[in-house]
Amino acid sequence: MARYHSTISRRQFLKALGLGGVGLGASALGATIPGLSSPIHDVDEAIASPLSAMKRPSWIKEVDKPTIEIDWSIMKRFNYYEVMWAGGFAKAWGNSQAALITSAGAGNTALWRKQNKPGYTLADTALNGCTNQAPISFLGPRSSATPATLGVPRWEGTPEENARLVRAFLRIHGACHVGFVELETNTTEKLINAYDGAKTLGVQGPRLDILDVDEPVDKPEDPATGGGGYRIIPKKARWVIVYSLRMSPELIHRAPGMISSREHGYMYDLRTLVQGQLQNFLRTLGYMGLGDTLPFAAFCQSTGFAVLAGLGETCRVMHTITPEYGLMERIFVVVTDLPLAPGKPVDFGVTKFCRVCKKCADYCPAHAIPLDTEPSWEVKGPYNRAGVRHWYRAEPLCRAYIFTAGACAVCFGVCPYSKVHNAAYTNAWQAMAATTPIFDRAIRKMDDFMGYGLRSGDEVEKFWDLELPPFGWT
Amino acid sequence: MWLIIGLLLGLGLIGLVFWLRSQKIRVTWYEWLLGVVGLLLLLFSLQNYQASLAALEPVAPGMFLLVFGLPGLVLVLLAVVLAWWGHLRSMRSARIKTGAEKEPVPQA
Repeated sequence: MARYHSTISRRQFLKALGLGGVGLGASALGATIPGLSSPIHDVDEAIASPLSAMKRPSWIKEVDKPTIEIDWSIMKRFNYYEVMWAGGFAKAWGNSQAALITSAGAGNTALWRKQNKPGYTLADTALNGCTNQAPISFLGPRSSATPATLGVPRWEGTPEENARLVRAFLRIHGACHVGFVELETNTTEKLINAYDGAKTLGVQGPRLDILDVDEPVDKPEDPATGGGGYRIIPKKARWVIVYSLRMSPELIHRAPGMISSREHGYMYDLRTLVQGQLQNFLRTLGYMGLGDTLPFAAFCQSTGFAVLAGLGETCRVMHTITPEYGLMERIFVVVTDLPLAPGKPVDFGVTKFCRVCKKCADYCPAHAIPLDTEPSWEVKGPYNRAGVRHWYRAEPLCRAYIFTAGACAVCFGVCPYSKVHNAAYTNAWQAMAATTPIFDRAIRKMDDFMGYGLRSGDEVEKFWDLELPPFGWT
Repeated sequence: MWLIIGLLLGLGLIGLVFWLRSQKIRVTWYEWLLGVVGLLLLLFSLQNYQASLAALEPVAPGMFLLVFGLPGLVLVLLAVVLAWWGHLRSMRSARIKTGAEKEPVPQA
């Protein structure tokens, strides 16, 4: 293995990265991370550690194509401005209607707070409002050393070694699943948006060009709004790192309301830190790491990358379901020129299960999730990305409900996959759904019968009495 | 914990077989089947009960006891009762054979 690496000793290299404490941190984490029983001392150990491997049950099969159909010839690079979280909401409803919905939401939450409605009390509001984020940018913090400043050649490893290295790094820093996708001009590259998000709502974000240049460029026209201008991703940055951060079931199952909303917010908070750390890590290795520029925005279709990397399958909710945590994960992406061995999509029966389950659609308070059995190529509006045979969500309805109720994510909480899979029963039905779809309807009925799903009534506020483990990971 | 439960179950089963032999109790294949299925259901419900409690599920733990635990218990009890009845029947017929007890005469 040594023949691939730079001449600097791995221990020195790790120390230079400021990761000398990883061993100490890992020993502290050893109790909570399965498979890690001893500290990690150097890069070789990091690459070989269980943290860098993704062991899964045999019923999760690797497949050549994603379980959802993709027509790359239809797909075009997307303009982020169209999403409901940017300019899409006012465009769909009209400015006056959009303003009315927004003010109705503020009125509702104020009233419910005064009424101490479960999920909207002052304590719940304080929980949701505690957001605190690190600065986040396309090029990263650039505060770590580079091989040039350290006087060493850049890191050289095989794509497989690099993949294990990055996976180990990300898992140590809180990522749950980590995967990789290679960018190809006529296919996967289309998952990178044509336009990025802007800081100011309703402003067209910078153009995202993929050009044959050596260095990335970040030139928004108006730094105050983050709008206009352009960003350039060098063509040599051919690899996508896609990682997930795990959410707490106890918070997610208290949707809709401020408690469950906090868990989504917290993942975005955490990712601002993790993204910067990953960008710094890649910088010291001698490579670029290009990331999101806004805490809540994505410069690419992260679910698409998660599916292609094999983190999970997409579903009726249009997010990623992983076998381990269902929808209770948030997916984030960084593009790099560090060669990485790409993963393969997985099949564990989700898209077949979604055809008959429909629990998310049944419970969706906005009726935004379609009840159609079969997915469709037909998009509902410019806010949907064409080219995927999907259950396209009526985004304006979804977003309007989130505004009027202050928060939602009911679909995340009711999904049968969104539970802690420690019980033999939940493992058994997952294996059954993966191999014998004929039982899918019975599995859905049993999920209802066993009382899985959202916490309601008094159960919502019991959250504050729970003795939760760190991060609420029960 | 499940290792200890497995060990205890293994020891318990060996003990049961020895006890049945010492008492000359014959257990039919279907009584064994009922007992084993019932025991598996009981174990399944216990594992799910404990895991659901750990996952702080409010309804599922009780439902597991009801849906899997109760039928499991019924099957185990049924196996025990059937085996015991069979044993009583065989003891009675043995007593009749040896003349210790008279065969019941049907009433006219």
